[in-house]
Formats: sequence, structure tokens, C-alpha cells
Amino acid sequence: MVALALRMLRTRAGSAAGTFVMLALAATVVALAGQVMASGLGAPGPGRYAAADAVVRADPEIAFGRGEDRVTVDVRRAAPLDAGAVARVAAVPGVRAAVGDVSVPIAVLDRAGRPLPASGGAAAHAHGWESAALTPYALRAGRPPRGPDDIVLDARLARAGGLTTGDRVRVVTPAGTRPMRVTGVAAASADQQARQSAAFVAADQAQALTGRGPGFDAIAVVAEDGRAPGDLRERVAVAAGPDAETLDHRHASAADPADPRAYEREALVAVVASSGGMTAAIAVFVVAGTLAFVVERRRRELALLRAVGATPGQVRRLLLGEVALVGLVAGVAGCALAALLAGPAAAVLTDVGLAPDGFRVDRHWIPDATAIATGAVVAVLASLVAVRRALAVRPGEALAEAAVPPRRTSIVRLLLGLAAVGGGIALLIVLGSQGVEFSGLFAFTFALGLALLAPVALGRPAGLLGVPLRRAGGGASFLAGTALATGARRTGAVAAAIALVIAIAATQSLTLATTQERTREVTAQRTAATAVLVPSSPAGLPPGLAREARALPGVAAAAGVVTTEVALLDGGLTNGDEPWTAAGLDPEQARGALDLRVLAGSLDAVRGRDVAVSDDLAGDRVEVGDVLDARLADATPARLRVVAIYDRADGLGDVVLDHDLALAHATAAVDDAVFVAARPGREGRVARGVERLARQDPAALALDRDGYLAGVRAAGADDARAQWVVIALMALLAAMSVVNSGALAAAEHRRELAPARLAGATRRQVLRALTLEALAVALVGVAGGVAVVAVSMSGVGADGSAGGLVVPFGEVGLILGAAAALGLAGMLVPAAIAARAPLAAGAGVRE
Amino acid sequence: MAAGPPAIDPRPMTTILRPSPAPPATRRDPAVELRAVTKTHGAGDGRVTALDDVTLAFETGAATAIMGPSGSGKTTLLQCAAGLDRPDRGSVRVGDTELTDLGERALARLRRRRVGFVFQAFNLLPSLTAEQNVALPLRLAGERPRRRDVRAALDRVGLADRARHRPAQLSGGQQQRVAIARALIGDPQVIFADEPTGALDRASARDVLALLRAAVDEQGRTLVVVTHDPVVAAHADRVVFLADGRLADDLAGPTAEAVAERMTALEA
Repeated sequence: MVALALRMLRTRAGSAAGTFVMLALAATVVALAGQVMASGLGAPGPGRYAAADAVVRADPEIAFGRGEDRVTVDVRRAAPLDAGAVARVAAVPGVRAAVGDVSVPIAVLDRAGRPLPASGGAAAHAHGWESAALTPYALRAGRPPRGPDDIVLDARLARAGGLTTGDRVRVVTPAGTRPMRVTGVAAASADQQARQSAAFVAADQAQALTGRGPGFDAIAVVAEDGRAPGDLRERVAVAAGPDAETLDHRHASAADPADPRAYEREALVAVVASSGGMTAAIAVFVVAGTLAFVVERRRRELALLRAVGATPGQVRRLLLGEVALVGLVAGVAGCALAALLAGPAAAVLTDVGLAPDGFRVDRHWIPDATAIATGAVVAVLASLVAVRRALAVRPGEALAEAAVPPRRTSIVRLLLGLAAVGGGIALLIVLGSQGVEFSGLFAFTFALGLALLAPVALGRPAGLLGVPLRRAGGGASFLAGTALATGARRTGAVAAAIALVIAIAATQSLTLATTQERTREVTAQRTAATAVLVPSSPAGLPPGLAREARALPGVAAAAGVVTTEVALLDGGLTNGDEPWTAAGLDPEQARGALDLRVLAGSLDAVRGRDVAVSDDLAGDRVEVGDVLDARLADATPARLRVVAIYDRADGLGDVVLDHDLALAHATAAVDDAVFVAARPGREGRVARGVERLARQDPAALALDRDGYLAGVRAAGADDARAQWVVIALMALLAAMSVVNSGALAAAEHRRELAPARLAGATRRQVLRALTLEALAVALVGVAGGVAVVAVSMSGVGADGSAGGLVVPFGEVGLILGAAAALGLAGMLVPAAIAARAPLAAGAGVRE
Repeated sequence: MAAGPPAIDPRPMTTILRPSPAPPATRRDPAVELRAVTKTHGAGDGRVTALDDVTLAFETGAATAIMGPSGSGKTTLLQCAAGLDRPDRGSVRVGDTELTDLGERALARLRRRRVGFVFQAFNLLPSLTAEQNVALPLRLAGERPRRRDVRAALDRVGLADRARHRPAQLSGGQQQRVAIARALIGDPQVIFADEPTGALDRASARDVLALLRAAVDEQGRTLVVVTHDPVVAAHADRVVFLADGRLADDLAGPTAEAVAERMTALEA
């Protein structure tokens, strides 16, 4: 059978090509997504702790749910460990040294007062000088830091600022912007210096600069020579206690708050996993359609085989074997393509912020093997149904001279389609009130249902369009009209593909536009400040800055806001097993600068462990007075009492905490913005005062209200780019399926055209007929897509919050046009090529 | 029994030699027998009765032609007799095997060895060579026929030199001859042919008919041919006429004129 399959494949290269391309693309997606995930899941490496054998940090885990539903998330920076813990670890036999490590986010300002660029896409961090030996950073020039104003820079930072030993610099720290003196330059490997920017200060100074008080972020352990690391690690873990986590060498960098990679990689994996599922589903569906069509066209050949004595089992093995073969080869091709695309893919992901700086896709064999297997498995699965149908008829029927017997759509397919639509409606009812979040899911479900029901839901309407065409007079429209009426399956398939592309892309477009507009609107409503101070570097704003702004003449209030996270563990409040974005602020100071539109309770009561929550979070589950089981940003447990519920959360956070509490547990004890409100009539004075403040302290940039809102808008646009990248592959697959199904439809159609030419139709009339038909199909497809989007987005605006549905007409118009154009191209280009062939070649031929 | 083979165009053609002597043709049980066979196509408004309670027997070792106007059900009759289609009612026996009892697998096995086919067109798989096409039924049976035997089969139809050519490289008549070689290779009891010469020129048609006739006379096989051409029917030992799904007439020892006369009478 294999030999037979191979031989038959050789002469069927044409029709196998379409299947091959779609399978190869699907395999590429699987391989690429797999490689990205595998790279993201791989151990993050030791990073700055390269010379250590183990690293201890407080338990970073937040656990949602229990038992089977238990989901854990690691926080960015765990709670600090005290000196006692360091001593305990140092006392473990076999430990040569236990170094308490601290990371303080800083920005080193150049002579012009501009912050030096740090490597790795995060802020530069200062550490105590003992930490230098952990990498190691070796002193290249000058001496180690001793006094409170001494600082040693890493070679790359020094070079960037043109700084050498003896220079004076200003350094932005959470404890304020202070003048310091460069006492030396230290260097590590080029890789390490590209990974993160480091500076070193005297040991006690590091602790003082954190703005949080004494405590260490991690304890790095160096073993005595000759000690087995594994066995040592266990004893260290025991000494550290049950509330600590001990990491081995390969995972050590996860404990370094200065290194963003480990943390961002996890996020990347989550994103790839979620979008990969839907992409794979689309790939399978498209391939199934293609294969069904291809098998259908071979009916006669299969009937002949059976007439000559092939049992149904043999025919099945032949078809499936052939398809599996194509699938395997397509899988290999997909892997090769994925290997080529790995570099650009990593670059794009990093560019839009989905992957950490320096993310590289390393080759693993498992994603490759999976992709190859996927190619074959998907091909076989997809053709099983088609093969079953092919074998259901008797050879006699199949050999009948009639060109295409009238086929009714299978009951199974109709039922599945109705189930998908029903499922979509159910989802819409249950989740629809959450507005815009789930519209992508709705759109996908409805589009799937529409595709399954295509012959009836799209093919028939296309046929109806054919009625006026038929009557319109003129040979071309007559031909087009009849073709539409009888080709329901074919036209339905192309229209469904067009609808799918529109469903995916347009829903994304509307969702993004709506959420961003809402954020902008809400932020504008909330921001009453005259001027806003924002950080000029990733090091943030020292909390002292808000105090200074308060002291300016004419200022009514100046509120520093620190953005952090709070995880809620109570049922129904878990936010999909993810922490909520939270804002720490002083309510008294915020009163003039930010208007949160409090719905219940009083914002002034926010202090200590009393918090305010957003209306979205509270829903109908939380009321003023409730106590919530929470974990703060460093995984510290806390019981928080709700004292207010507010409305304007977009762009700020769904939990408002006391400023000091937030600072104490945030990843970095810095403000992300300071909102300054002026007394009536003093706006101009305040604006000038704030500008002066920013000039004096280059940690900050001064913006007026409009400038700040413009910045929010720009950040939203960046987010949008990242979101588009996420669905890009999905949309691409759907787009290819439009072209593919168009070409298949054209191929099937070709047979019907020869008799038309023989009856006297000119080449032009035939092409016109095809064009009219293609336009009708595209119209139905676009209508179907728009219908899906409309239904999927119908829940938006119903949740009563600010901002209804926003339709970016330009973008949507582009999507509709592109989808229609793809469909037209797929249907017409092959036809135009075929029309050039001499008439005799097409007439009376078997296939 | 009819006279010997008709006049053959004097082109070099090897006479058909069978490896072992042919059994003498004697009166025995019919090779294929249909009893009260009824078959309808389509549904609802489109329903058509192709065969209406047909009872018919085909003699062993004889050539029978089935004739009739288009739409008379002759192709359906052939397909039911051959097991390519299943009648709605009635019984079909090939030898002592009741076809209506068999499942698809058993029917497929039947088609490898006991029954051979030749269609009007599209007999061969376009992606296989003549040789591979001829060997196909045996390979489907899981056997590996010796190259010699396959070549010999092709030789018997005069195409040994075209063994490695694909159907696209052969003329219509040559393709039909390859199809006959394939139909014969499994040593079948019955050969069914549906308009085997319908798409051929006269010379090729004569060659094909000669081959089929020889299979009956020299190898003792049973032949059932569907045709609309009186000349083709005249090559048979007996002609049955179908009209509107029923047996309309029966003629033994036919001549082309007699057949044409009966046909005109039917179509009137």
C-alpha cells in the first residue's frame, strides 16, 4: 500500500500542494510556539549569582485555590530576609560563605542630568559590595566603596556615561536623588553586563537606600571546596526554614529582583500557551476542509480501486497513508521554517514587550518532534471523516457518469455546528456581562459554528443572491446565478473562511479600541491634577519627591502613587488566578488630584490595612466592611478590610492601598507618578514650580495634564501592538485558508466551465461570470463575518461602565477589504490562469 | 453455440494461448443468476426505478450481450450482477455465492479473482504503469505476482512492449487492452464489460472484441457485455433486451441486422 500511495502521490502533486502548504504552516506554528515556550520554560540560569552554589529567598509563591484547582504564581520580589536568617545559613556545615544580597533600583545621571541607559530593559540596580564576588564582578580600576557616598559602577555603565574613577555623579535612589562619587569600575563577562546593569555601594548603605529598612532580598550561598552542591542545598533549605525557597545554580537568577528575565519568561509562556490553543484549532479545521475536498475529488479513482478488488480497509489505509506521508513531510518542512523564523520571532516578541530583553529561542527537540507528529496526526484525523464518507457509497454509485451527485450536508456536521453556536450563545449569556474581555472567545466559537453550518448558513444565501443574477439577463450573470445556486458547499466554504478571518481580526480591533478608549476616558475623568511628575528612568520616583511637591507654593495637594499588585484568594475574586493591579496612595493628598468617583464608603478611611476596591472587582460579591484574604506584592499574607468602593479604576488599579503599606511590600519602593493639584487660581504658579522641581531633580519629568494624558495614550498604543502580535499567527492562518479555499473552489468549478465554453460562452463571459460569482461569495462572507463580530461584541456597553463600543472604522474597513480581496484572489487567480488553456484540453476529460 | 471468431484485421497479433487446456463447454449451472432484482435510484420526486423485478441467468462459458435504449437500466443490471451495487430487492448469485449476503470486504475479495471488469473509460489508475495496473488486483490480494506472469498477460493482449508506459501515453484502444489484461490476470470465472468499445475507433474496437471473444472460446470464461451497438452485440452468443427496467426480448445466435431490428421495435 505504501508503494502504491507513493506512486499515486507523485502524479497528484498539484492538489497535494495545497494540503501540504496548510499542513506545513500549521506545523510551523506548532514548532515555533513550542520552541518559544520551551525556551521560556527552561531554567533561567544563574545570572548574577554565577559564582554561588545556591540562593535562598523568602517563599515567592501565591497559591490560588486548593487541591486539583490549585494554581501557583510567583511574585517578582519576595519578602525580605533578616540578618538572623543569613547567620543561620552561614552556620550550616559545608557553607564557606553566606552573603546577604540587596538590590536597589537606581538611575545614574550623566553630566547633563539625563539617566544613563541600563542594559536588559530594566532599571540598573545597586548592591552591597560583598555581592560583587557572587558573579564575580572584578575591580578593574579604583577601590571598593567604603563611605556612604562611594559607588562602583560596572564597566558598561561607566563607558555609557564616560565616567571614570574620581568622577562625581548624581544617583536616583528610592531614598532620594543624591550626589555620589565613583570610587572604582568593576567588570564581569560581556554577557552578564548585557543582561543587567549593576553598581555597588557600601554594605550598610545598600540597605539604607532601599527605602524599606533593613533586610535582604536573597542569601547567596557559596560552598566549601569539594562539597556536593545537592546535599548542601538540602541542609541550607532546612536552616532557612519553611517560609523560604532554596534555588539551585540553574534557577538562581529567579531570586534576583534586578534580573527581569525569569519573571517575564513565565508571562511569555502563558501568553503563547493561550493563543497557541486557538491557533491549533484553526489549523486543524482548515486542514480538515482542504482534505475533505481533496478526497472528494478522487471519488472516481477510489471507486475504480474498489471495483478492482480493494477492500474498504485497504482504501482507507491507502488514503490515510498518503495523507500521513504528506503530513510528515509537511511537519519536517514546518520545523525547518520554524528554525528560520526563530530569530525574527524572538526579536518581534522582545520588541513589543512580550518577551524580556535578550530573549533567545533555543532549539529543543521536543517541539520539533511534536510538530512533525502533529503534521501527520492532524492530517490523518482531518481526513478520517472525509475517508469515511468516501467509503460510504458503493463503488457502483461512485462510478456513475454524473459529474457531482447532489450531496446533503452530513447530520453530524450540522449538529456540531448548532452545538458550537449554542455554546457561543451560552457563553455570551454567562460571561457577556463582563463586557469586552471575552469577545475573542465568543467570536471564535461563533465563527467555528458558522463554518460548520456553512453550506446552509452561507451557501444558501449566496444561492439566493444568484436568483436576481439569473434573471438579470446577459450570459455572464446567468452563468454566475446558476453556479451560485448549485454550488452551496463550495461557496459556503470560501465564505466561511472569509468570515473567520474577519471574526478574528475585527473582534481584536474593536476590543482593543474599546478598552483603550475606555482607559483614556476614565483616566481623563479621574485626573484632576494640574501637573504630573513622571519618572525619567525605570528607577522610578523617590517617594520624597511628593513631599517636596507638596511644599511648593500654591499647591493644594500632591499625591504620590505607587503601582503594585494585590492577590485576592477568596472564591470568585481571584481574577482568573492572577493578582489585581493595585495603587498605593495617600487619600488625603489624592483628594484634590485624583477623583476616583467613590460609590460607597469613604476613600479617606484608607489607611493601614483598610483598602478601597473597584466596582469591577467588587461586583455583587464584596461590600464595604468585608475582610478579604489577600497576598501583597511580595507574597506577604494580609487581611484587608474594604472601606470604600470606587468606579474609575481603568489605568489606575482595582485596589487602592495605603501608600506606606504599598511601598513596604512593592517590588521597588518608588512612586510611579506624582499628581499635583493647585489651589484655585494658582494653576500657572504651580505648573512653573513643578517644572523647576523637575529640573532640580532629574529623576522626574514634569507634564501638564494634557501631556500626561498623551503619555497614557501612547502607552496604550504600545500595548495594542503586543496584542496584535499575539493573534498575528492565528489571523495569518485564517488568511491563508481564505486563499486556499478559494483556490479549491476554483478547481472544482473548472470542470463546469468547459461545457459552458462549448455551448458558446466566450472566454470573457466566463471570466465575468466567475467574477460576479466571486463577488457574491465575498459579500456573503463579509456579511457573515460582520454578523459574528456584532453578536460577539453585543455585550459591550451593557455593563454600564464608561464608554460604549468603539468602532475604529478605518481599521475595520481595512480588515473587511483585505478579507474580501483575499477571497477574490483565491477564487479568480487560478481561474484566470486556467482560462488561458485551450478549450479542448478541458472538455470531456476525466479529471 | 455461435460460430468462431469474426474476421480479424490481419495485423500481427499473437493468438491467445492458455497455459493449461480449456475445459470443454457443457451445459451446467449458470455462471451468474439474478432473481426478482429490483433497484431504484434517487429519492422523492427524483426517484427512478432502474430495474423492476428482473429475473435472468447468464450461461457459463457463453458471451451474453445486454442491450436497450438509454435509461433502460442495463448499466444498473451489470453493476448489480457484478456486486458493484446492491439491489433493493432480490437475489444475485455468482456461481454458488449469494452476493446480497456479502459485506464490502467479501465483495472486494470477489472482485480480485472471481470476477473481472472492463469499463468504457477510465479503467486504469493514471499514476501507475500498464504493468502495475495489470498486477493491481493481485497486489491488492496481498500477492506478489511474478514479473514474468504480468508480462505474459500483457503479451496476450499484444502490449508487452508498452509495459512501462503510463495510461496517458497509450491510445484508447491500448488502454482498453491493458484493462482486459488486468481483468483476466486473476483467472476470473466471469468478465463484465460496460460498453468496452464505446469510445474506440473501429480498428481498436475489433481488436478488443476479438480478445474478449477469445477469452470465452479458448478459456471457457463467461462474458456479460452491456452495449448499445448492434455490431458488438452480434459478437455474443445471446442478446437480452431491456426496456424500462424490465426484460423485453431475448435473441439467441444474433446477427447485427436482427439485433438492430429488435432494437428499433423496442424504441418505437
